Amino acid sequence: MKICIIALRNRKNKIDNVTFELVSIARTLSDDISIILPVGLSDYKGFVQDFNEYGVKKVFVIQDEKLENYNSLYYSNGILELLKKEDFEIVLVGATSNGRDLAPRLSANLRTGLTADCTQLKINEQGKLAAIRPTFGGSLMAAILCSKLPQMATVRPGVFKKVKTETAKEASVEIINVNFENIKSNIEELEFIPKTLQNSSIADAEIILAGGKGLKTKENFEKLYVLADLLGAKVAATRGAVEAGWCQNDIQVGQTGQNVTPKVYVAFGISGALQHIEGIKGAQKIISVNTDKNAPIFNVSDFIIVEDAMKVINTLLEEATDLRYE
Amino acid sequence: MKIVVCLKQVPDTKDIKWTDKGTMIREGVESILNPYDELALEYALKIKDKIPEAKLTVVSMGPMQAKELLRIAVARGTDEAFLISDKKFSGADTLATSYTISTAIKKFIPDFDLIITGQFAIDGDTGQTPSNIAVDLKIENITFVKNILDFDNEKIVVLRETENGFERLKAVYPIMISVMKNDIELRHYSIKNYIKSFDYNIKVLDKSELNIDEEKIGFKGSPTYVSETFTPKFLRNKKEIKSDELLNLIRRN
Repeated sequence: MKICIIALRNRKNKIDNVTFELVSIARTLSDDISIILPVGLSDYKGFVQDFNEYGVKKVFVIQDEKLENYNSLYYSNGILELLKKEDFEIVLVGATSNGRDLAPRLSANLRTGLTADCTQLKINEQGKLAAIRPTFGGSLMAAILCSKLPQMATVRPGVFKKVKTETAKEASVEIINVNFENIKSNIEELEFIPKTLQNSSIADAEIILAGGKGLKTKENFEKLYVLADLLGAKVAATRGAVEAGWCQNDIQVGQTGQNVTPKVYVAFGISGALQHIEGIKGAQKIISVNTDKNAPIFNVSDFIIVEDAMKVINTLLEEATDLRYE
Repeated sequence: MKIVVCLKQVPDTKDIKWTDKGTMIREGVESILNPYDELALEYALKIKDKIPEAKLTVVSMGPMQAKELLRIAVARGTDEAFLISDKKFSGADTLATSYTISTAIKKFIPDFDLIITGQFAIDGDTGQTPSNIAVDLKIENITFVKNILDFDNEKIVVLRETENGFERLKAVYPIMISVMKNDIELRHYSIKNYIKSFDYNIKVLDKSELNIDEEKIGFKGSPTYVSETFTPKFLRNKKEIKSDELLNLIRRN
């Protein structure tokens, strides 16, 4: 089974971590793993070395000055030339913004299928890739197959663990030069504004207070921040809360957000669609508050409170404030 | 200048209720315009505010009931509306959907300058249909657009957000941009305009109108398919507690 993983670099010229996570999961499916690495004119040898520790057979380096920073036209053209030549059976792409931009351009050009944001990857009895993700509605998982080759999938960062191989071998390297003379991008970057350091992310928080649509209003949701301050916790949200405009998407937990592994995860007014639950599996303790006794979040919780979430939040706010002045 | 906006009708996920078996109750779930597409339309209308001679066309693919959202787009100031609808189109994955939509755009709006779409639809949530359409139309596209900063008859300047930071990008037409959530205010439409929108005849495009390759549409034209669905095994104790025990549970962690 020939698997290919596309390695994208971030703005600090480091290979995205998700690439190594993908190599690690791919190793459990096959021992024939190739990397496609588009680079600018700078030295690429360090990148290749990074892959040796992860058990990669071959690294295809596509080198051109046009590939210094990500551009979907140049990147997809360069990579497509190689994908059409090599008969990879599976192509995996990390679901970063650029990965999510690139993967559908590749799959559409190859007239093949692409499954987005998988949370599990398996090989079925027929030797096909089963790309597994929650279905819409969020109560079932679906295994998605593809009738064409290559079978393509994207996976969010943090879904799989990075595991180095014990039998490190040097990967063979092939340098590919692509002729970009006949292609000219209509898009020009005028400026890049790096993000300032974010307040420590929810990915490594010990206590998380998460809110969903059950909190009803933005004002209600924002009370979570006050409570979090009092308890030394971080606030997280469901997709629904982000959609409603109550908070930014960088605190979204779940399949299309982040995976979290806190000691305590408290879910306020969250019904528990699988897309959300996928992101909290690693929590040590899950406590949920919901008025609907059938809410699916209860099935995955260690402790449950059947009550209006706002009522509980308001009580907690009083109790936690009292504690502070004791 | 010609602008195309792609719109999708989606189930409203706001008021989902669950059965005791953990499946979603679909009855009584309303259909709404995908919230990302609502922004796409608003951006296009803002361009029309500044360049009134710009022609705005909206395109949607779905069942006949999706006419309603197109009607509202007309009430808000859209010049032309197409609904791509045929039983043969159903069961399509993103590749077959994109092929169908791009075929319609090629035939009916071939001289477009700018296509605006939502980055995601809240039901499928793959975010890949816009890029697939762009490939079929042989144009470039900019994903994860956080804001439109400037535009004229030849070019547009947008802010694209990634994990690393913001890219200020200038693109010369033809181009597609796909927009993320932003807190720009959506315009209202008057009842008068809504009533007037009924005078407008929404053009319905079926298979015969598009003279389309049948091998590439619907379920048949979709390389991906669901092989099985299953309930994940991830269950915990669900011990019921009183709310006054909660603070201690959190603090003890």
